[in-house]
Amino acid sequence: MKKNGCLLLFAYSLLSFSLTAATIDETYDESLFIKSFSSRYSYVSFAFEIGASTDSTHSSVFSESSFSLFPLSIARVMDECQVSELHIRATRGRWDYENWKESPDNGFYSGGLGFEVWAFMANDPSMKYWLKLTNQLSGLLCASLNYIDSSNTYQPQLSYPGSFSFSNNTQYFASLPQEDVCTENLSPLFKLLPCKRKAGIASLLDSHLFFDTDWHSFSIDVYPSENQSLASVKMGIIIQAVVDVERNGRRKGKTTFQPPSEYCHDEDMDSLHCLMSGYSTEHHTVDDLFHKVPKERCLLSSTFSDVFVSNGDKIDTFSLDEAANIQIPIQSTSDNHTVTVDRSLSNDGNHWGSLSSTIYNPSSSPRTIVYFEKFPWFVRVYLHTLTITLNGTRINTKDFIEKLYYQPLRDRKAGTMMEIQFSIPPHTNLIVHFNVEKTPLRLDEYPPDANRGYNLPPAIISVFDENNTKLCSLRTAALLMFIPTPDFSMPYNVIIFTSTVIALTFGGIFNLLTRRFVPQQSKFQNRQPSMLQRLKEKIFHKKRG
Amino acid sequence: MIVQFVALLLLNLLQIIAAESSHTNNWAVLISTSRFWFNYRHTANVLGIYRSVKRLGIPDSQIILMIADDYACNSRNLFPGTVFDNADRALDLYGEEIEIDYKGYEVTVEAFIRLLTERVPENTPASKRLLTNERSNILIYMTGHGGDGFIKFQDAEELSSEDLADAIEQIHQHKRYNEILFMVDTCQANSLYTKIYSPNVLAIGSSEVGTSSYSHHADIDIGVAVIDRFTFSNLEFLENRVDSKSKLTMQDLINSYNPYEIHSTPGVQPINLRRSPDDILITDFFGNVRDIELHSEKINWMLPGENTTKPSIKRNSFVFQAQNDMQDDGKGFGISNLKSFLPPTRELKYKKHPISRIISAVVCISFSIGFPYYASKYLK
Repeated sequence: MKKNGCLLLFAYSLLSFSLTAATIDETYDESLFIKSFSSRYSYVSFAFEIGASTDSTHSSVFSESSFSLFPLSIARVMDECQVSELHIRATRGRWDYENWKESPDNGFYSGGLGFEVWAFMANDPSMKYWLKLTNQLSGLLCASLNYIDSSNTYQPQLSYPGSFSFSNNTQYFASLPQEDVCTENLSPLFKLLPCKRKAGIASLLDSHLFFDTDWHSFSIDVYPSENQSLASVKMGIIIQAVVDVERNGRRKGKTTFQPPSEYCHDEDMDSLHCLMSGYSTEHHTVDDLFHKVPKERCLLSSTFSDVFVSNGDKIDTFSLDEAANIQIPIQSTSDNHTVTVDRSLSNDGNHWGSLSSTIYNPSSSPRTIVYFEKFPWFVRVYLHTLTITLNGTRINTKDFIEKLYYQPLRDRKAGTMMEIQFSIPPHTNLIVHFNVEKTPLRLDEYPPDANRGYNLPPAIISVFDENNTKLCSLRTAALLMFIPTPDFSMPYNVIIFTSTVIALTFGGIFNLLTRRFVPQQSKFQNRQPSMLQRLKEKIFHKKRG
Repeated sequence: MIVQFVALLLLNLLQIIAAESSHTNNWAVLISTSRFWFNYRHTANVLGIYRSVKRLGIPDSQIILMIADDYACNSRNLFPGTVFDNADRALDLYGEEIEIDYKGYEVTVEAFIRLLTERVPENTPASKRLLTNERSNILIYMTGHGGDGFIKFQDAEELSSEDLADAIEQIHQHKRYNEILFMVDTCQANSLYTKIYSPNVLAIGSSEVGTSSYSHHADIDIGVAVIDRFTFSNLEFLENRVDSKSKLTMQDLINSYNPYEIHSTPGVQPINLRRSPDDILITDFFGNVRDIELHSEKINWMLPGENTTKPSIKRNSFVFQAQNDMQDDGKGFGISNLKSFLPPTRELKYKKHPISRIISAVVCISFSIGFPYYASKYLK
């Protein structure tokens, strides 16, 4: 018995030693932020952050395999594709700058439309690791990110200064505005979280209510915590939505999705008041937004105050246990825009168009603007038509633009990219305008719903202050451009028409070539005179000579 | 007497071989090929089958789900994030957890054939590959618009029955399936599988050549039809009568088809099946294989060299035990019981059969005598 005991003790010690060979420190935090814009709209934001660091400072934490909190699938993708920084945005809807004012978090975690992916990785002209990264992400997030190729990949120089970027790394940016965002993209996000959807603030999220909002977005950011080192990294997942509380209230308590009753039977109230009578106009509750009472908090989280409610200029903090009793005050938003942006597209027939972006600086100090515009390859941008108007007055473009990066298009290989840096004076309305030409595609290159048009990716406006600090990142509205579409039955018409012409022509010529011609005189040699001829001869007594 | 005994033995052996399935894993390829909102029912068809195969045990990693358009989060959808296949809206097919592997413009004829024949692009992730082997049973379910000998993809392409048959033959030649159930719900669906020439394929179609496949009913609020009749009949069978331990067979499913209810005549074609549909269980295609073996008896593991004469040593067995036995040994597992987990090592020794020895000797003697004889004849 003693020998067996010593042997087992030694084995246990060996096992303990092997477990402590790689020390990884991991942290997890989650928070829920709620802000009410008006009696109808409320903004909610779920933020999750997982940090991982290893004690060996010269290696990458992504090459480890004994994570407890950090998702191994993300670490494996980052390690295989040699990525040092990764950002993913998935957004649907349009942010209402008029009524909801500023973008949340200065727009740093919001996309424009569809999916956006950008990454800092080793420079590779053939984009081998970039294409591998997007393919792996398409399997991870159930999105068609494998459609990212060289024709819709851009390398911006000014818009995204990576704060932790390595010196030998380059940046790749891709945007897929036609990609849908739905439950199949949201579900994999919860699989990356330690408590998934079973505990913590994620238990409040219902995908049905989430996709019944006017604007929703989620983002994944994986970045190093320290400069020039991948020994310590962080991953942030942010899920945001603007909830229509009134429309949300129609679903409350209806688990079988019965149709909403548009009218009430109390004739004393009109239908509008009847619809609005279900909730208070002074404050909202968590039950109004999520129809749920949250479960217990995620025990892996290091903070106890998980819920933050915006109350005027200050923010109230609550724990998740008190979430059922939170009253979210309804407040009107202040008008403190940094910069407002808008973009419109005008079509001159099916061939030409022009694009106008309006940037307004309401503040009293000048702002440095980087205007990042990208187009698919079949939209030809004519840079010589670029005009800039300042408060209605056209100015000299060359003197106004400080920096200009322009990547011309190559057919079916690369799209157009423009990055324009200029300084906008205070209280100024600026319009950037240029002409574009729409190119017809080959027949097999049209999408199946070509008559719907193509979603142009939104322009990205980065605002910097005098100290070159990035203030906000704004995205214009995505535009729907009607590409010139042929009659898709034209190939069959051409085949039928050409075949008919060939058949008629060939038939006629063949008939002429194969026909045998016989002289007609031989037929008349033995012809008998007609009865009339003979009668005339008898009357005139004339003999035939 | 001996002849009858041998015949009876062979008959029993054949029955045993025929009744037992030899697959070890299940895969499902579920495709809705239609785009645009008025084809809502095709996605509802596929999601209904998807829900059934998940309920019966196939995990998401072995389901390839291809949906050609976004219906759940479509702007026209009155119930965002939800797809129904019944007007009573009792069951949300989208739910909270769903994995769509090919969506939108990715659903093309080329992508489908590349998936089947495993000629996908280089960087394709594992969730978008059909990683089957020769012991895999594959359920292929297609729904959409079709005609005589083809099915339409996104109103832009067609998959012809010849291409489908050749793709299945490539899977067969690469030994990447054990059995295939090919099920299709389109107009003139039975013409899609008539060209298949590979063995062990059971094909079921919703309608004959010249007849359409009809929708079952519409939802007033959704505004379009929500399910097809053939798939409604299948789901009625699968949801009400089949669970993961069910013994119902494919013939029971085929017998449940009512042409009057379906408004078309479903077609069934076993293609060189080694088993009859009477012997194929529903769960052989819609369910999954579980390789857990349950013991109801206590097994004592003996280590080599262990002295069995010491009655004071008592060890727990790492097997499932009956309730009565658990009370006696229910002291939990600890590090001191680690040895109980290890099965004893067995010595594998190969013993040559005497007949094979005789055969070897005869062959050697024949060569040693015959070769010089023929050599001498040749040299002369």
